[in-house]
This record gives sequence, structure tokens and C-alpha cells, in this order.
Amino acid sequence: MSPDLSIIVPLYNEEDNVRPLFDAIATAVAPLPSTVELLLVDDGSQDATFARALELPRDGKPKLRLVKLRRNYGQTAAMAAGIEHARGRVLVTLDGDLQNDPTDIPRFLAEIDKGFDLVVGWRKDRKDHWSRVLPSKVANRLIGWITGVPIKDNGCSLKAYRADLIKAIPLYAEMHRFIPAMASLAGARIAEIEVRHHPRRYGRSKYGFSRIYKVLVDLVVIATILDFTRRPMRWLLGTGGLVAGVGCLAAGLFVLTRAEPGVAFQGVVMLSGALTAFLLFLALLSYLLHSVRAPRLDLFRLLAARPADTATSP
Amino acid sequence: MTAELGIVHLAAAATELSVVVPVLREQPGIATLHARLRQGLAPLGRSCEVIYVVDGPWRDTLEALKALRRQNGGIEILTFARPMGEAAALTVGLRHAAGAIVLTVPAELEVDPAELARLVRALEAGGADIVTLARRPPGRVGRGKLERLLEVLLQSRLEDVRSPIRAMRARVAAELSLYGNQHHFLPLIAQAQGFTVEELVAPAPGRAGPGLARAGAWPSLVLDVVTLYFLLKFLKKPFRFFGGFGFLTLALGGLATAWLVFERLVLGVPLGDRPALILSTLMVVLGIQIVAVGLIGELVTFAWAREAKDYKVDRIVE
Repeated sequence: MSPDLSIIVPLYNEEDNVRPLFDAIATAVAPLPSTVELLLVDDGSQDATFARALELPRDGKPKLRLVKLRRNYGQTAAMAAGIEHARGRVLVTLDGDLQNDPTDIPRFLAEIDKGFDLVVGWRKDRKDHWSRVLPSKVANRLIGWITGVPIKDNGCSLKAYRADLIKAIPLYAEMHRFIPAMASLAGARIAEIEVRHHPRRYGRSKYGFSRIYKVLVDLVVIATILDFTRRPMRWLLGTGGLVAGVGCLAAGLFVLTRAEPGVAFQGVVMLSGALTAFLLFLALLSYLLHSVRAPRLDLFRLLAARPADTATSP
Repeated sequence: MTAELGIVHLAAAATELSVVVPVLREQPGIATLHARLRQGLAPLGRSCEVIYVVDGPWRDTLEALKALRRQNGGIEILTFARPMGEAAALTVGLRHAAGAIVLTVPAELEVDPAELARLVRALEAGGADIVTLARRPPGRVGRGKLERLLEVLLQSRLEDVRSPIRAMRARVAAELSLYGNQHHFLPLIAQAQGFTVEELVAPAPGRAGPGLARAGAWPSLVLDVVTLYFLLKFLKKPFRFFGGFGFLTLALGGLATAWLVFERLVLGVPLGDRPALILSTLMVVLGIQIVAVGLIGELVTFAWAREAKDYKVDRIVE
């Protein structure tokens, strides 16, 4: 029988955290009336994480399932693996480093029961060094601005999802930061609640500064994807139109001024013409791509539609 | 694994060890090779099949193999009517292999056949999924240029990446699908799929097979390394690659154009006839093109992401 709730925790070299994490989660879910499964995803740890996880009691509450990945694939892939193998109606993800507090989980469930599809944690009072907090604040603003999904804290792993929705969302590369934006593809109703946040007890943080470039580049990608699923050609046609405009402007300029057009100037006009043509063809290609995958992309619209009487307006 | 290809192995249950030998050209010494293989593997005392994949119309070799098959058991011969390449031959051979352990051996075996038994024992003793036999020519110290390049690009620690002599577990053989020149980098591709690779060292007269001794093979090898790097690092995030180049070109072009316009407007340098303007505009155009192509790549990735998973699950315990 499938459980009501699946809790998914990706673990990477967290041998000291496994037991305390399990105990904390077990204590937190004990009073809940629902059936609970806990999925621990070992993301190719090199230490004793999996061995420690094997020692945990498997048949109590929560019912334990261990998913061991072949090698280290990164947080997004570990989460995606957990989501794929989870059987609950509602899924909750949290970090394996004990910085999230499992006692927050019941509040997340309450929000899901209100009709939200996705509940995002907000670490209002983050217990990390400013060098981690500041870039993340800037990134969150930027993500909210570009994707149109203003979430205060995209990096918080503590989230709750309606299972059928999150299972339809493609999670790959390092897309876990953009889950709310991706979920907006399926018209997700998103709630954001404050969560407790603890400083790290064991192990060390696994992030670095190279994230900034990655986040910026990924943002361009996510903006393109969001635009593409709604209007498959617009994102390229927009740029194409802009380039064509610049070309026409330049051409018009020397027609108006009756100046002797230099060779280089003519070159610029021709180059912008060539680029417009290139972008036009590429736009057709992306239209083709969209129609090939139309049945698959349709899923998002199907998920977005809900009978009017069950829907809440956030 | 092989069932989905519709291939039935009559003696499948009995085979413990499979040897895959791609035959890429006429091999006058194929009977000798077979005898050496048998002799090298005999100390293991396992039931063994040898699969020869004849890549092309090598009539003499084929006849020799058929004669061998009449005299000995445990030989399977597969042929391609026209050459499909070593990667194809290997992949097909690995798919047909029924053994719990699969060896790949070149038709020109230059190492002591006893090393094959050592390779199998090392695979069984250790926790690795693949053990390759690094060939160390006499007097050679350290690794080659290719291996050093691969270390920089892909953090490979192998001494002889291209070694054609490898032992692997059945689950690796069932999953590998190689094309182009990927057989040169089999261990790295397997590693990317989550398998663990170890290396044994054995003395050998040389490293390059006859196909690679030609000086002309180097440019294509470098191209293969670049392709491999791209494939392994950016398969699921093409825009990290294209975006970097694209935005860089775009920014340089934009800055150059801005400088030229500034010169025209403020310093009064005539602009209409300067080739520099064409160059800077070209860079802007190129930058936009690279970015656009990279984004198309991302859309392909996104549209197919559900089907092509990022991760491989080792096991599930409940």
C-alpha cells in the first residue's frame, strides 16, 4: 500500500548525520496520523553513509527505503532519484546535513491540505556565514525577477510537493534551485512558509563560489525554457526582431543623411540581415522541437487545470 | 540484457567467461591467437566462450575461424558485411557475451596471455566493475601525452586509457554502447555511467595498435578527446559550454563596437570605412548565434529530460 507521505533526503558523505537525522525525523512524524516512508538517497558517498543507513530500523514509522546511486551525481540527480522512487501522495524533501528542522514538516503538510501544490521553506534566520547568505540573497532576487516566481529562498531544500506535479517536472543538471520556477510550468500554486534553520553540526558544506557563473547561466536557460513552453518561437523571434530593427535603423540612417555609405557600414547592415535570417531559421527549428514533444509538454497544462471548487487562490 | 535483442543463447547458463575479439582486418595468425587465448585462460578452469566479431569481408580470416569452430567448441563468429568500425564490433560482441565476466582482447595480442588470467582474478578479487590492462613498453616512464591531457580535462588517473585489453562484469557489458571512436575511451565512458575502473600494469612491446601508429591518426585522436570532453561534461547542460563562449564573444564584440562608436562621436574618427567595425559587429553576431544554438541544445535536453535520466541506481533496500 502506498504511504500518504514520502520524505526524501539526499545524503552525500554524511556518516555522522545519518543517525541523528533519522531520529529527528522519526520524532517529528510520530504524532502524524498518516503513513510515512523515508527515502534516504545515498549519492555515491565515499564514507560510511550507506553502511550507517543500513543499520537503521527499517520497519517502524517512518518505513525506511534506501536508494543507493552508483556514483556521485550531485544534489539535483539525488533528489530526482528520490522523487522517482517515492510512493507517497505528498513528498517532502530536506537536506541531509540537519540544517533543516524536521519538526517543521507538519506545517508543510497543513499548507498542502489547504490546496497548495508546492510549499517552499524560507530560512528567514539563516545560520550560515555571510559569504554564503549574501550571494544567495542576490540570486533569489534575480531568479524571482527573471522567472516571474518571486520566492524568497530558492536554495532551501525543505519543500513539500503534490507528488503527481513534481513527478511531471523534469529535474536534471542543477535544476533543483529552480524547482518553483519549473513547477510554475504546471501552474503550481506555491506557498512559502518560514522554517527553522540550524548551523551545521557535522561534516562540512559542499558549495563553492563557482556557483555564481552557473546560476547566471542556468537563469538564462530557465527563462528560455519557460518562454519556450508557452510560446515556442517567441524567444528567438524577439531577438531576431531586435537585430532586424538595428539593421533597418542603420540603413535608414544613411538613406536619411544622404551620406556616402562606407564599405564597413554596409557590412554591418548585411551582417544584421544575415543574423535575422539565422534566428528565423532557428525559431522554426525550435517550433519543430516543440511540436515533436507536444504530447509531453501538454502534461504541464493538464496538471495546471483544476476543478474550480477545489482550487485555492494563493 | 541480450533477451531484448531477441538473441537466444543455447549454452548461456554454462558460460562463466566470455572473450570478445574484434577482427578489424585480415588476420593470418588468428588460429595462433585462439590457441594463445585458450592457453592463457586455461589455469582459471572456467567454461569459456570466444566471440569473434569480423568487421568486414575478411574472407580468409573468416574461413580460418570457421575451421577453428569445427575443431573446437565455444566459438561464436559474428560478421559485418562491410566494416562498421571497432566501436560497433565491440558493442555487438559485448551484447552477445553470455559470461558473468567479459574480456575484450585485440586480434593482435601483444602481451603474455597469462596476463588475461591475472586480469580476471583481479576483477574477481576487487570491487571494481572494470579492470583494464595498462601496457607498459620497456624503458617507458610515466604516462603519455594523451593520458596527461585526459587527466587535465576529465580527471582521469589511468596510465593507458586506450588499452584494448579489459575485463568487465556482465552488467557493464550489457550497458555499454559505443560508437565512433569511443572504444579508445571505454573506461572513461564506463566511469561516467557510474562504474568503477581499476588498472593492472603489464609489460608490452608498444602501446599503439597498427591503426594508431600512423602519424595522421593524431589530429583525429585530439578531436575525439574534445568530443569526449564535451559529451561527458556537458551532455545535460550544453549551455554551460555554449553560453560561456557565446557571452564572451558577445561581450568582446559589444565592447569593441562601443569603443568604435565612442571614437566616432566624441573623437570624430570617421567610422564608415573601418574594417574594425565589421570585425566587432561580426563578433556580436557570432556571439548571439552561439548563445542561440546553446539554448536550442538546452531545449532539446529539457524536452527529453524525462526519458534520459541523469543517474543510475545501484540498488534499493527496503
